[in-house]
Amino acid sequence: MSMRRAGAGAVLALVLTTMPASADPPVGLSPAEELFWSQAEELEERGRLEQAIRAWRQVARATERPEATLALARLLIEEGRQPEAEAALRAGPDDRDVQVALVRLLLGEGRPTEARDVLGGLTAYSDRELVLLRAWALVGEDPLEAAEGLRDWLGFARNGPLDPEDAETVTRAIVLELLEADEEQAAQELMDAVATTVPETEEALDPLRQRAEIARLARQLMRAGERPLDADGRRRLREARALWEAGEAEAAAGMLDALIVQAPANPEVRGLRARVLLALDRPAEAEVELRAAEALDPLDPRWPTALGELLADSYGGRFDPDAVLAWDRALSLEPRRAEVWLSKAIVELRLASGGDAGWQERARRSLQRAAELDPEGATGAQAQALSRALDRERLPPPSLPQTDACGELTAEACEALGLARAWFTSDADGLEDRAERLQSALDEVRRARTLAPTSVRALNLEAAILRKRSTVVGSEGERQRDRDESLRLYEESLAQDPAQPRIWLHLGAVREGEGDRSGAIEAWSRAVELEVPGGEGAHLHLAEQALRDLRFWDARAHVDAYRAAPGEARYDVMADEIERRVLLIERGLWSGLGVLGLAVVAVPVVWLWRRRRGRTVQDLLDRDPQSWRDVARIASALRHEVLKHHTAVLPAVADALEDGDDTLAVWVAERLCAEDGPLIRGERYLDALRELGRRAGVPLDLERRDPVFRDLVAGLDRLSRLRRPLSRGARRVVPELRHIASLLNDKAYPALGALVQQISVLRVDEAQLQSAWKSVRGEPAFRGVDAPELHLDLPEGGDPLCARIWREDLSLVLVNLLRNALEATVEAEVDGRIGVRIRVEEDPITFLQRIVVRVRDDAPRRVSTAMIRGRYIERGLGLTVDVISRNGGSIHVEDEPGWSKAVVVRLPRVETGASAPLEET
Amino acid sequence: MNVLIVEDGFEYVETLTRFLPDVQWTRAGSGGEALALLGEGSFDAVFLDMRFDRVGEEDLLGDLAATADQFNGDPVQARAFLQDHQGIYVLDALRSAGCTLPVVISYDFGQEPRRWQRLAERHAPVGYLPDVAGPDAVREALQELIG
Repeated sequence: MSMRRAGAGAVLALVLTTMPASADPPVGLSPAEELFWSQAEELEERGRLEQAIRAWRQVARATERPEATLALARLLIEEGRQPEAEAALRAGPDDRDVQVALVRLLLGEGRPTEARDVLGGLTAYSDRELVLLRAWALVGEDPLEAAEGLRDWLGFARNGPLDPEDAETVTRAIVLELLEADEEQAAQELMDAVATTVPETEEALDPLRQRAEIARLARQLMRAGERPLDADGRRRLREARALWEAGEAEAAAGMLDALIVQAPANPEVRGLRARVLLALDRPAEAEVELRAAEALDPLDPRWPTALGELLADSYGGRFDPDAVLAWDRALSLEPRRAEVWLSKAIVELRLASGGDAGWQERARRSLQRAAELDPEGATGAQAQALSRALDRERLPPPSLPQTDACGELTAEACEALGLARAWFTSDADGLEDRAERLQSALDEVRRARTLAPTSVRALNLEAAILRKRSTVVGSEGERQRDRDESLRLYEESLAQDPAQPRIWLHLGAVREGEGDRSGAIEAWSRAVELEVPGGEGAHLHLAEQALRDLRFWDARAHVDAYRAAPGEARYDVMADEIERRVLLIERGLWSGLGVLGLAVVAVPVVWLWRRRRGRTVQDLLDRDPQSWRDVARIASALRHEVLKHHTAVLPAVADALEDGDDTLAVWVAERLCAEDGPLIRGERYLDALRELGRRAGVPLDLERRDPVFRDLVAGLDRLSRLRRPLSRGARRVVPELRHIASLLNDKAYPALGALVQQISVLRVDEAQLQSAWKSVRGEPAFRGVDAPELHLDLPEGGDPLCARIWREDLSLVLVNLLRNALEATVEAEVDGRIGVRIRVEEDPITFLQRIVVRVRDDAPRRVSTAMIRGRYIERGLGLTVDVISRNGGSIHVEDEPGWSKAVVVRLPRVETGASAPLEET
Repeated sequence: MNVLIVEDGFEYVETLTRFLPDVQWTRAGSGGEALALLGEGSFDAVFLDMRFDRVGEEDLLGDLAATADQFNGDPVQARAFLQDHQGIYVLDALRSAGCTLPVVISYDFGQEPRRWQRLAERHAPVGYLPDVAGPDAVREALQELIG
């Protein structure tokens, strides 16, 4: 009994059920932990998932909070890193939610035994979620018991609605196991119970019901046995195919619907109908047809091959394991089909994306097989690269003569031959006694050959049985002996009767399988030369060979010859496929030449364009002035978290190395490489800066064009490359170390400081005030108003008063304050005064200064600090409060001797120093 | 030489212990802890970090409520302000407690000459080092102040 895995998507969805996508930092964290938490969330919101994972890992380790562990695991799963998510959950705090997430992860991974172990530690809990998980965990062990557990869970519906996604996932897992155990009735009853209790699952469970029905129908058809078409049936089949090829799928479907009533047990009809239905986007019905075709003709690999493709392509990956099973059946019939191995490998890789090592191993083997089978061809290359899907198809295996007539054979020989055929055709993939059945077929056919030594039909059947056996049972040596004997028997048969086009066809396939390509081509050529029905498929083999040699026109000629040849049109699908590939290759060749030509011209142009397109941080600030605050924050963080004492020691390390002491170098290398060390932090901040540029439409070229960051990037890059020799204490790094120290400490550090100063420091002076006053008086509301003069009282002499504030922000603050004063004056209808006094205050501890702007008026309107800060008044002051706060200032209403009141704004003063440039007003 | 390092992390004490092993380094994680250690041991100087953003609010020196009023009542900005300038608050507390040891502050006052002059007048003997200064520069600054 196999345990079904939930797909990677299901794992994600199920585990995420217990993990909130985002949460405010919990109370009780230290400021630093809160900061890390916010950083992790911010990184995640900005899509910097790798960095967010590192940040969450740090938070989880530092705080031991379950929320942090869950957030880390959630991100790891989203990134397809289930093993790391599992490790994080196992290392997380002993918390119910963490343990439940681990259980869900294990169950999603198809590891119920381990899930049961974890559940063993949660016996104290019996809530609905754990009841469900316990049921799910029983799936691989006892599906009936699991079904009972699920029914218990359904009982919780009395207390509130159940999660439909949980219901669907667990029901699916249990029902599939029940079907495998032939417990169809129990499966049906369980699905009914779930759909009744959780009606939202009704639609989702439909495919599951359909699968049960498909399995039942296919079994029924298998019991019916294959029936050949009569002449009229063949004609109608050809007509249906022609309609379909002409794009009239609906008409073809109608014709096949009628034909299938007449010939319900013909695999060709069902196979074509499957293709038509698929073209009409009816994959479930197409699946029924392909399963029926396979049941009717289990020796034809076309049906399980097509079925695998359908299951892989039409159900969004839900039935990938079933697709692999179908291809396994096809490959047991034709094990040397490289393209099927490749398709199977691709789906196995898809399944392995959930982190399942088993699927990964299977995919690896499949790819290896595809490459071995087609070492010089495109498929082999694709298997290595997994990039394209130019496949190589081969003809189906030899089919036995369909006639039951015994001709010249004695009755006993005829009976032995008939029994041999019966044993042979009763063999099917999945049967446990295949070896015995094939041995019985072999015993009977050899008896027939003893009775009729010259019978080519007996020879052909024995060759077919041996060939089949070589693919399914025995050691490698035994299999090789079977293949050799099969080859010899086909050759003996053809020596007796060369006019057997089908046997030439099969001989060619066997020779090709043995690596005898020229022998295979010779055999197929003989089949074609006979120009009788039965050998027309050889044209397609020859077309395949021509394709391998890149003789596209020869390939096309062989396909045309096949179309013109008499026969049952059995291989039309294959012919279509070859034709499609010829066309694709021809187009690809021309396109490739075109692309090559374009590349010769475009690559240097793009390179030049990219070089010129990169911009500087100054360009970013010009384009998006509001970004100054983020730029300043990043520059400041780079100075303090990346440079500072991390790089200040580099000259001392160089000195020590020169003196023969490598311990400091080793120690510094460890610190640089630490998980949250300066190199990683630096990379993170530079990425954040680039992202800022991208969002503003200014792609930054920090490496080459930016005068401020160029040295920083170069220094960090060089330091990163130096880690390994530094950790070994290599003395040869000394000159490089000194150069890096010069770049980072002497150039980058002061450059970053100057940038911070430059981008955010603005002078507060008379010109700013007059500009704001002029703007207010020009507003429509004050036109025609006889506004008073602005009384200014500014400090005389001394250094300029500069604040760390953006120009628009300062302007907005001044305009709003002056407007508010003028409004109050106009409203009071008095000849009031309006004035501004500017002074400086100093903090007695830090000696930091604040610029105090007092906007004074005579109007009697009462206003208070609380009213302004609490937004009880409007008049634009609400926005002013925000802007002032954002710039680290404050606003108060204070008494003002000789005036009615003053609205007082305090802004942090910045000392400009001798070197700091100012933005002049 | 016996020096008390006051910092919220362990970067300075780890680095300086490794690069200047002949100096006796002792670490205090906050202003309160520094005052306690100064009362217990005998030190030649104090090496003081400026920014303390990894200590709990209860360990920060300074009046949070009064500071919040400077930021429109915003306690978050007030706390950040106290963290960013905590070194000066610690220095002020040391001097208020009667500590006259030389103090070297790890902060670049190069762009704030007026402020540095005021601090140096109030809290002498005191010096500063830009935070990219290497271990040798730290030793020189300390020795210069100790005399």
